[in-house]
Amino acid sequence: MSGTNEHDDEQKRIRGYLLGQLPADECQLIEEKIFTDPAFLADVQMTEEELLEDYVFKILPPEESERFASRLLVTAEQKHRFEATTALKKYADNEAAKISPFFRHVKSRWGLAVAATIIVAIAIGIWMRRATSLDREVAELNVAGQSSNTQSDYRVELPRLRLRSQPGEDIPEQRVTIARQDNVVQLRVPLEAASYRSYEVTLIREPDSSLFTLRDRSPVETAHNKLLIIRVPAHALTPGEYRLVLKATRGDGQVDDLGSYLFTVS
Amino acid sequence: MHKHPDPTKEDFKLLMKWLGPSDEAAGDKYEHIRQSLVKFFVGRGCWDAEDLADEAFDRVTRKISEVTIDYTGDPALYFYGVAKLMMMERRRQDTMRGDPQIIELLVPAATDEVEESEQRDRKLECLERCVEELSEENRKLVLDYYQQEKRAKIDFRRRIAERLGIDLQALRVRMFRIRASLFKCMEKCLGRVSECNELSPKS
Repeated sequence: MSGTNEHDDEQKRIRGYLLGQLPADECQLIEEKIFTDPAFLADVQMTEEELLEDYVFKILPPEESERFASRLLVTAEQKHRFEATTALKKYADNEAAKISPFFRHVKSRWGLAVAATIIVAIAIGIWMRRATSLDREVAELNVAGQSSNTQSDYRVELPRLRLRSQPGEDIPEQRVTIARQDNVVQLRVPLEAASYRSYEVTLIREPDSSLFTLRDRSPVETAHNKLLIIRVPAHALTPGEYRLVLKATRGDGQVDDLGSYLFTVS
Repeated sequence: MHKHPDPTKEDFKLLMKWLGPSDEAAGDKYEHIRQSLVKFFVGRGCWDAEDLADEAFDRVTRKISEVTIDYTGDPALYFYGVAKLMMMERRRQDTMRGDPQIIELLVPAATDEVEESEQRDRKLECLERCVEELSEENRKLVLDYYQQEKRAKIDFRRRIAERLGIDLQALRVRMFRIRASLFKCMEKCLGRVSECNELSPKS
């Protein structure tokens, strides 16, 4: 465990070095190690690439992002890497958007392709009917003014949101056990910033199945904080991993991606 | 600045002998020192870090017969000293020129839009081809790793590592290798490479 902490500390120091945040004497130590220890150099290179990825995916905090651009997008090689990583992200997103990788393998086999098309069409039909009815059910459960006084709901208090770019704290994954008698589960999201006009919440069953999206949500004031309350029919939360994605709209209409909560229903 | 004579083949041979007992060991050491130099110069905001790394090698190679007599210790640290010296010289030159910035950041000349768009298309083509060349397992890993939606998750790297049944460090190393092979393939496909970029003295 202490080995992991040491490694995390070293990672932070390397990040600090690459972003020009360390004092001169620490830089000197790091540089000597870069020159004398090939494994350490590889670690520095890996960290630089991870910073580049975080930059491309826009998940670096603004100050680090600026430092990254001014210090690590300087040489021709770094620029090529930036372009390649950006292209890779675009490619991966495009691939993910395609309906099913199944077709790649069966495109030359017409019989299988026809069968697959029928199966997919049926599956989509069933999914859409379920999705539509779940959307409706969730919308009804979350009619404005109805969220705070539902005593029989099973309440799930989600932890405070942390920045996605903060490295590796061990936050235990939230486990939720829903009893048979529960009809509605109330997901309670504490909010830090209150300057947003409205919030949007999407619940995804991992890996990729979006269950519903609720838009234009407002937080509820409690004695201690502000909460965003989302009521979900218990039957929709079958055992598995879930991700709640939170976005917020500012006064000027700009949408901020606030992050994700993970929880497991068992 | 004076133009120094290029190092000779004999100097270069002596340098390689100094760096390692066999060609392979010397080659590895050379590559490690070169990458370290690039990292060092980049850390000081030099846009021409690769050229400066070459310049450091040239300087040491030119003086190698004296260096091997006078210096004992890890050759890499000798290069580190040379690199620091080069930075001091650069700073001095900039001060003499009255340049308020230590290092000039030269912006490459703008290319025209059509050319840029053609280059982008070509890069994408190459990328697709290179991703297709990966093993099925690595291809899937790359697609997972670079998807915006997956990336949005907290600890997404840890989750991928868990799914693969490896620890985080092993995932980092694996991605590092895949990326390296992918980018190398792209460079090759784009015709930027590099077979001629092997270790050799300027002649």
